[in-house]
Amino acid sequence: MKPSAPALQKDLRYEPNERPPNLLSLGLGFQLVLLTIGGIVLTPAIIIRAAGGEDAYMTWAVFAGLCVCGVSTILQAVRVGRFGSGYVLLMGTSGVFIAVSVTALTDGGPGLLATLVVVSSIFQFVLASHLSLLRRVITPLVAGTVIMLISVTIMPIAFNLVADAAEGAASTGAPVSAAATLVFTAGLALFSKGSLRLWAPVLGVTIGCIVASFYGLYDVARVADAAWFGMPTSGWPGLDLTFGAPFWTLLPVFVLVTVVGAIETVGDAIGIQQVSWRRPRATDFRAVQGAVGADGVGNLLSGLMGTVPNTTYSTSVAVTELTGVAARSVGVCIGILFFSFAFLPKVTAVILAIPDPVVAAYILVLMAVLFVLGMRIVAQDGLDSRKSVVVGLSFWLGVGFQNQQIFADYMDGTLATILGNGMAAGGLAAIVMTVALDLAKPRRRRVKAMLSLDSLPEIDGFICKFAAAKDWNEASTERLRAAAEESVLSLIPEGEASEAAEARHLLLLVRGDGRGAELEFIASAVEGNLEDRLALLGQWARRSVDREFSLRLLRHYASSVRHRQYHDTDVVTVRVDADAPVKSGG
Amino acid sequence: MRRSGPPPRRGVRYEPPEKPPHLLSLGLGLQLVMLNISGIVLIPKIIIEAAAVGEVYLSWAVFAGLCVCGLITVIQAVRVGNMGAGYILLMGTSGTFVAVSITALVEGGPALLATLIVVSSLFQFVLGSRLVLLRRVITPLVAGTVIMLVAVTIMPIAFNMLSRPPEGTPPAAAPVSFAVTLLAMAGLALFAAGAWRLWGPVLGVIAGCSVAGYYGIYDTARVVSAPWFGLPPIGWPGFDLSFGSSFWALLPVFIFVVAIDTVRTVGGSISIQQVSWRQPRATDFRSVQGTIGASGLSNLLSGLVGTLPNTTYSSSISVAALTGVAARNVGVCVGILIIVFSFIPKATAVILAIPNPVVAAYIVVLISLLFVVGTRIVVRDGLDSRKSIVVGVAFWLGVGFQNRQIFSEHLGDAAASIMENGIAAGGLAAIVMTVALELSKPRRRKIKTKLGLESLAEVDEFVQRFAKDKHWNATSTGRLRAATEEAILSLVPYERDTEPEDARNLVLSMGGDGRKAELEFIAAAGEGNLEDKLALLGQWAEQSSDREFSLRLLRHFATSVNHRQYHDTDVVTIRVDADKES
Repeated sequence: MKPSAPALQKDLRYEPNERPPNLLSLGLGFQLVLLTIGGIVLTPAIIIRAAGGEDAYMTWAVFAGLCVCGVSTILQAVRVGRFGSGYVLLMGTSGVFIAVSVTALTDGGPGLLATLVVVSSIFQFVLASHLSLLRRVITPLVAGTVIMLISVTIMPIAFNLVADAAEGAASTGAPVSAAATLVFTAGLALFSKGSLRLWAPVLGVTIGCIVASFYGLYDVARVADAAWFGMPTSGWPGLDLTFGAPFWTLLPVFVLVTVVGAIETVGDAIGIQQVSWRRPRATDFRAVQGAVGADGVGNLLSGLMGTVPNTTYSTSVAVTELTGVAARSVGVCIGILFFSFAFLPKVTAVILAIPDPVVAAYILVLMAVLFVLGMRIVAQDGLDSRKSVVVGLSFWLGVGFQNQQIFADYMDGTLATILGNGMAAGGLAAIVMTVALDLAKPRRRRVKAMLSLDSLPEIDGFICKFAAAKDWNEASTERLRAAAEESVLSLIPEGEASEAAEARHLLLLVRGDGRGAELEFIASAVEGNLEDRLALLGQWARRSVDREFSLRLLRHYASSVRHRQYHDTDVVTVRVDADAPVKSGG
Repeated sequence: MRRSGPPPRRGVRYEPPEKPPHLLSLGLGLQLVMLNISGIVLIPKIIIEAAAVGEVYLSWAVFAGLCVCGLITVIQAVRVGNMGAGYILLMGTSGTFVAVSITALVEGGPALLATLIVVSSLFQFVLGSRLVLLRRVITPLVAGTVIMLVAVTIMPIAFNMLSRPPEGTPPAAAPVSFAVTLLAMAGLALFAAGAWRLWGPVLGVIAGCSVAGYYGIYDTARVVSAPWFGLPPIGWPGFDLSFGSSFWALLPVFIFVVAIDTVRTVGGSISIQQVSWRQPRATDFRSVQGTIGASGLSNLLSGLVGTLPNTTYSSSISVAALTGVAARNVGVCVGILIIVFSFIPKATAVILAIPNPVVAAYIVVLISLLFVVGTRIVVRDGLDSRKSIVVGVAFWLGVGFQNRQIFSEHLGDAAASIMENGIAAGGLAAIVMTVALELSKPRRRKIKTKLGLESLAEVDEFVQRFAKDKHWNATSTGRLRAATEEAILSLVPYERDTEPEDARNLVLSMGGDGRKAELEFIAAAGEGNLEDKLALLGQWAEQSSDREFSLRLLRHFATSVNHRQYHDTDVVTIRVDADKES
């Protein structure tokens, strides 16, 4: 019997290559645009308002942002060369950049921001061709911590928006409209089902605006004044090519945020593949690389056009899953619609007129969810006491430095700017501790073979050598050998009916520590760097199946057994404890 | 073949009733005291210095705190009536109360704090007799969020200690001793193994103090001038019986924090039971209740004598696991030693003289870990998108209110003093959202029976009724029935020679709608409220094993199968999806 494959997705109506009627594509595209355009327009607005930028620059940034998002969404759908995923992946302005962009604007203005975005986008291209970097340096521990810190740095901006608004108009207007937005957004997200949940942010903001307009907080004049058609004529900031001190101190932070942002892109690119086909297929890593590459193109264009960076929105994954339409033509429609909306100032004015308290409540929910996402990434592989130290300490050092509570007066110049940013300080601490921990671990031994009965002697020899090197006693060695044999047998398909053509590759990794050994069996149909692929899948994708073997024999020998199954790959992790070295008497 | 139980723990050398040699008990006891005394003494120091109450009260609070901790540690070990765990559970000053205690001290002085502790301790007795409350209201989601917020409220206090360096000392003194303490503690926690890891905090503080001593900021004069034996001047604050507005505003927060501490006490009590016996046994719930009772007594006494609240320290669990000595004698020795220490002012002075930057680093590391404990509790059962909203929004509302960033000027007085406490604001938000979510779920149907082949017919009928009510079609109903049968068969022991007295009870609860059904099978020996027991175990204990069935047949019928096994209880959760109506 074959390992059970994930079920067919019967509900899928159009695969990426199929062509739904044009009207359907347009309608779905319109829906996705409505769902996301609020966020896309608000992100640059928040950044520029928080930094005290001019209105002309804001109008330009919103216009340019929409244009770039349109272009890169089309690029994601149609794939040009190595850029683009070939799936419906909607691109929008990226929330994770809010805090660093505000710093860049206050320290050096729009020119500096543009330069930083351009330069850091280059790192995204490097990342696209070297996805293994994500595994080696930006482990889930580091990424999760940085994501948690991102919301720490952005939250005060949201809180400030409310406080500033409260100083002006009718004293109860601001708190009431913020509370209404918060309650409705959270309420809909908590209690509604299906597609209504997707609309929670949009409906929450709409209700918040209605409440705000009772207090006269909604800026109707702005909407009335805006033209129906047109484009801003000025506002392009150009690039700041002086490369002064602020550039060099902010660059590491931008690169870190770019890389961490790319992780979400990887997750979305894997996610959209899982919902786009009727018959589930193995994750296509070229599509993942293409998604990251197109993301890089988006950032490069954003920088050149003088707007804020963009990233993939996971909304498209949820919508595809709900509607069952994964056709590329939808992605193209979305891109065209974004592009057209950029030339309709009336539409963007409706969004820009949303009062600050409503925006703040919206960000609060958004960043709260991002924070929890960070927690989940950190905790997904299990947090032992060592990892807890890494996460806890780097998070709180980040918070402390961000709020300038840790010896702020002792630091000056460059050091202060870098450490004064919580993401940089915390991320650095997490990277240093993770790398140090990794170096302190004993190295893993490995053996590669074909997955079949013929390989058993080879594997057994390898295990014996390991046990001998670790001075295991005879009983423990026997148990280790038996566990290894059982595991291999459990991976080989039952019945000899399966053809030799179906033979899979087996990679066995063994790591010993003071008390026992951990064996990891990776069986896969494809060649190539199994470990890198697997690490990416394991780290960043939602697992398709995560189950434990309960083969009684195996349990008998091993102290823990775990089986993970991806589309074409099985991973079995077995832990065998050695007997205590000295047994006195009896 | 019987269900495979967890293997016996080979490392346990002395079980609770056994008597190790006196010298061994005393040696281990001394080690535990050394490990924990700094926490027990430093937490009052932090609280009282942050509230600027004064030296007399500080030395009294430390003295009285040590006496109470010692006494209750003895009670936890030996059990007096209903009180006490019957295991080694060391009591120490509770870190959870730091922020609320400071607020109470600032608002109404030590007398108000004492009154609040006495009154809130009464609620701990209530919780001890009604563990269900912990399941229904303080869910892991709520508790985890609040524990994270506790860290948020304490961290600024630690950072604040850095901004007040002792005057007239070299500028490098504070940062360097802070950094050395932090690096030593983190380094040992990351790279050391076994007993070394346990000693990480103590060694880190010693390293920090050595550096601080080099710069001359360790308060040597305090140690020299302290007498070897003696009692501190009476600093008993009495009670504040005026019950003014600050009392009523702070009382809910105190009760809340007490409830959260109780949750951690439950976890500690379950864990110590798991490491104390050679042959694993079912968790003894009377012992859990005894632990909570003794903690309540401890807080009551703390309030009466005018010191700070206590809780169980988990280090006794790690030490018992490491050394294999779980004998009650050790607990008695620890308690007696702590009481003896309280009469040696020289010893407490050594700890109180530790300079602020070193204390700050110590707190930063400990509270960072507390924060992660909170995240782990929150994440443990899996976070879907709804739970994410609950945790994220509650946590950040808590942070916003704590930092007075959310409309502080719009709140009235009473509301302000409750909401400006991040723990209360965030905890309240989490409870409200959790309860609302719980209420919006469809009610689950339930059936109780014996676990055996005879019950199959009864259960089958129950499942069929569900399918009929929800208008499932024939094939889907067939699958549901088959899955139910397979699940029960998998729980019935294989061999027929098991005696009837071995028969276990089965509780099947199921929920769902027209499209899916979720069935939970709980099989356990012994009577009693299976679900409450189970919920507590599932929520607060580290699971002994968490595995999935991979019975091929069951997989064939069900969309997901999950099997959790506790000592004497099996829980199988399966999900069956109905066919889409066309």
